[in-house]
Amino acid sequence: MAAKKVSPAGTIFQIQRWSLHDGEGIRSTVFMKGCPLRCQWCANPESWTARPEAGFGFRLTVDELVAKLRRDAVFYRESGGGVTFSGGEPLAQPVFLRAALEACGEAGFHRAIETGAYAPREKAAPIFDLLEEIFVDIKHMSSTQHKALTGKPNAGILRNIGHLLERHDNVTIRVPLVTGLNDDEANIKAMCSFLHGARGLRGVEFMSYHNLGVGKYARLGLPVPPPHAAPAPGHLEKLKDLVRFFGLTAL
Amino acid sequence: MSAITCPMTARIKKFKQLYIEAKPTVSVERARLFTKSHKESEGEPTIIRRAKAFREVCRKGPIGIFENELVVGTIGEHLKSGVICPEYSWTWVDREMDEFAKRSQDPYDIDEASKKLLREEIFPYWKGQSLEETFLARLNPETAKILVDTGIIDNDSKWRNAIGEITADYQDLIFKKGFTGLKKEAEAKLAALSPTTPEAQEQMDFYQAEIVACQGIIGLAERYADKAEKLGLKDVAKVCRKVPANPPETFHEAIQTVWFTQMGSILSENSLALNLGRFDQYMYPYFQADLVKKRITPEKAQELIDALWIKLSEWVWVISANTAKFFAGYNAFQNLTVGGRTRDGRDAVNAVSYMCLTASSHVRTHQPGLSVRIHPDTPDEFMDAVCDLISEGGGFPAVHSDRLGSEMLLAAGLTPEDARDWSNCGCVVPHFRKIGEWTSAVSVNLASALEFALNEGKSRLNPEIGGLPEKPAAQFKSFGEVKQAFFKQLSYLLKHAVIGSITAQRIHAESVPRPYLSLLVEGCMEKGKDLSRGGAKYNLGPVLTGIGVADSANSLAVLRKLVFEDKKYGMKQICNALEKNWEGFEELRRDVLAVPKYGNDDDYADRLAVEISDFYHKETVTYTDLFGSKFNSAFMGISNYIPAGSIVGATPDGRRSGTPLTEGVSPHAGTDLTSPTAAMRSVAKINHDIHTGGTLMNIKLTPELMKDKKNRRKLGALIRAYFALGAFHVQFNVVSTETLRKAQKNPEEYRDLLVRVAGYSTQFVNLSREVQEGIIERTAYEGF
Repeated sequence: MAAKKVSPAGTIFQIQRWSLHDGEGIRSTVFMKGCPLRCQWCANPESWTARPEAGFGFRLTVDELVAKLRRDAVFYRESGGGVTFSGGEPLAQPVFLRAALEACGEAGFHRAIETGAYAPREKAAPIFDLLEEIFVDIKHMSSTQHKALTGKPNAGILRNIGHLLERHDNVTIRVPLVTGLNDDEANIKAMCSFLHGARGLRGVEFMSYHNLGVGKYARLGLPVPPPHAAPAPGHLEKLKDLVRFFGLTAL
Repeated sequence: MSAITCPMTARIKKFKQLYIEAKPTVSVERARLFTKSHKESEGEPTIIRRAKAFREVCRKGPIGIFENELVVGTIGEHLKSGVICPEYSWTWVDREMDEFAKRSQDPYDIDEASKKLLREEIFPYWKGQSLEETFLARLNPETAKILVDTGIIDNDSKWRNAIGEITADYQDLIFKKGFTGLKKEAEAKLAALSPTTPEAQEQMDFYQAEIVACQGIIGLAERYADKAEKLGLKDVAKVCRKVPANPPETFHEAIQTVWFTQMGSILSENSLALNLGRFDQYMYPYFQADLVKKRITPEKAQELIDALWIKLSEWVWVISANTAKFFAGYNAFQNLTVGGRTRDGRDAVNAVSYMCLTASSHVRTHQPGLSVRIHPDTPDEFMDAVCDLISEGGGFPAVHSDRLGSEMLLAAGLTPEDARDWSNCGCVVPHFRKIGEWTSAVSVNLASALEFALNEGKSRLNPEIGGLPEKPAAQFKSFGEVKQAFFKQLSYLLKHAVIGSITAQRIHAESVPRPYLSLLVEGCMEKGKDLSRGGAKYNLGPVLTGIGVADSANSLAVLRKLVFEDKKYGMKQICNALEKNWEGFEELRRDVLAVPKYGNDDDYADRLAVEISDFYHKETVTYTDLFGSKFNSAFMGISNYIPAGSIVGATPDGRRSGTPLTEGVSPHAGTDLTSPTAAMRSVAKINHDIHTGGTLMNIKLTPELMKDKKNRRKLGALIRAYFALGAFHVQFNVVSTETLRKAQKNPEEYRDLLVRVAGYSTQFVNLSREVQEGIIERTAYEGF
């Protein structure tokens, strides 16, 4: 008799059904708890810590997760949708994530991820191979600036992204734009140079800052971040034009 | 087949404006002429008297042609006329007409001279003879205690009004034969009979009545032809000279035939659900033929359809204040169904299907009630057009599973071809043009049944009335006992709903036969039998509509969890809380609200909804009606969930006393907190295929969601998936809360704002405050 396979467990804080903006079709988004970064503009600071706390976050095995995701399988099928892993940082639970993605693949779900790509290459690479669609952030091209804004340098992130762009055919770069922090032309130009010529790149999506998460900081006992702002529409258009100038698609 | 979209013409814009501005006004001419004829036909067979009265109305009633009209015909002297049919009921008219103009739901204007005429000449004649009086005199007292104006079980639309609920057979009867052809048929049948048996005598009466009814409608059209000629409207005159006596040959003639046919029904009965059926199927051959002969352009055809839509919206179904609560919004429930499959199983979408969607988009009137049938092979392009119309926010169209509609009717005994040829009746009832059926026979209040079970058999708000005696709730020792007590009370309500229906059916057959409408449904001419006596080819049993599935399921879930599983509270505590309408029991109410609710894809509550609806169905089909057909179950809306809620006290699910229940099989407003997919999964657990009267589900989506094409495609996928799960119907409200609040503040500026109530759409500003609040409260899903 074969040994029973142990279903790894992970920490999740929400499974969001009827997600329309996290990939193709109608999707369910799995928000995983824990993130190595501490971005100044983060709208989900409750996702930073890895453990469940204050009634937020829960443990789930892969089998339990897939059973829940299956509830909307008929909607994924009809719409060309599927499952998106997000968070927090999904790559921060690589064992669980890998097993979950394998199980989702077996279930026939289209799989997408939203990630900051801050993870060791040997953990991230096999996971990227299990995904049909990838959304990855670039917060800043300068490692020093990156560290100041997120708490971590960006060398590893950029290496992971470079690797992705070569191996994968459906990558979207997401840039969380915050006035004065990363929305200068120099930064965006540097990013476009970095991305130029990448075969697997679908395009660049700018995500303008919003302050809907600010109220959460005080409630969590965290220092409230200074007020930030989204770039003006005119400036945003300029950055999009810049992207196009480099022959890339501005989504 | 691709979509043809032409812009609205200036003429239609003008008609639309006039329609919006016109005030619904009662015309008493129909009543006057109907009564006059009856005074002259004393002693004759009832069916002939009614046919003659109809003919008199056709010959002498007001004829209205308004400026520049394409499709002509009014039922009264005003643009928005309603008629009184005293033979069905007049006491409520007498009681309520002084307040008609001021009532909160569906007001009407009526002038003093009309009121005087009604009171002095008309009501006195019908006193003691009307359907209402007969019904109330014959109804057994035990049934009457809960059936008459209590909100517990309600069928006053079947004894204060005529039945309606037919789909005219254009395909095989009216377009094929014309009313002259039908008259000839009746004459031939009559000539072949000899009055030497009772059956033959009855049949001869029937055929005589049919002949007279044909004379009536033919004569009406002639008068319109005469008037049109006088006004110099040559095209209109030519059309009215030809149809509906003769089969139509052109698209314009076919459209006018439809409207004349409809007018005949309205003048006969003033009833709801005079359905147009599969308009795209029977009109398309005329459109095609005209195109080939270069008699029409797509723009002209679109204009004619737009004009018909406005005509369908102009007439007013005049009803009591009580009925208006259950069927709110001046709605006549004229359903028109497009799409689906043909009789031989192919996709049925054609150019006219698209033009119907466009017409609804153009005129944004609340009639007809546009429905679409969707099957797995429905073209994506058509689905896109449907989603485009949904995203406009008017609540149209209602979307139905093509296959499930056929299945339901196949199970009811239709042939496979007929079953495939289905269309909707009124709200969401699968129907067919050869069916006779009371598709909304009685509303049954499930929350009342639960209340009786928990309150020693009595209504909390009116202890004078109730169901079966029951021991105090504190004495229930198990959840099973609670459930059984609920089912016992529900059975009691269903029993009396059946009694009320059969009583009404017998009286209808006796005193208000329907000679004109019997011309429109196959079977009556063959059998020589009126619709009310089972003349239709198929006779399906009356539909008992349950209200409060979500509410009762959620309530039972609370009791099971808090009292019998967690044992946190006792039954006595909960009943005290209900008695006090939660005041002083805030913590208990919080716990109650935290128990899983139907609509979040949680079996804990959902399986109870399935159990309740299955029980309801099983109980319902044990009864048969006047024609030996089984009664049918349904969970559909109209606006019945609001008056039904007003007579029920606080319920264990946390609902406050007197507040609305839930429409159809939707989750209760504000409790489906997860997603439309979760709500759909919940609702799909219900066994839709057994509820032959239809199951209704409402979803509200925010307009931002619908703004881009990609998301509208996702809406299409959502619908297809929902039907793949076995559900029957879904309708969408895509209007922001902000817009609705604005409309409440400035109704003048939002007069054409259409919303979906439940099973139909109507102007938001025409709804009472209560219904408006109900719509606003319905969960609005953002896409995340």
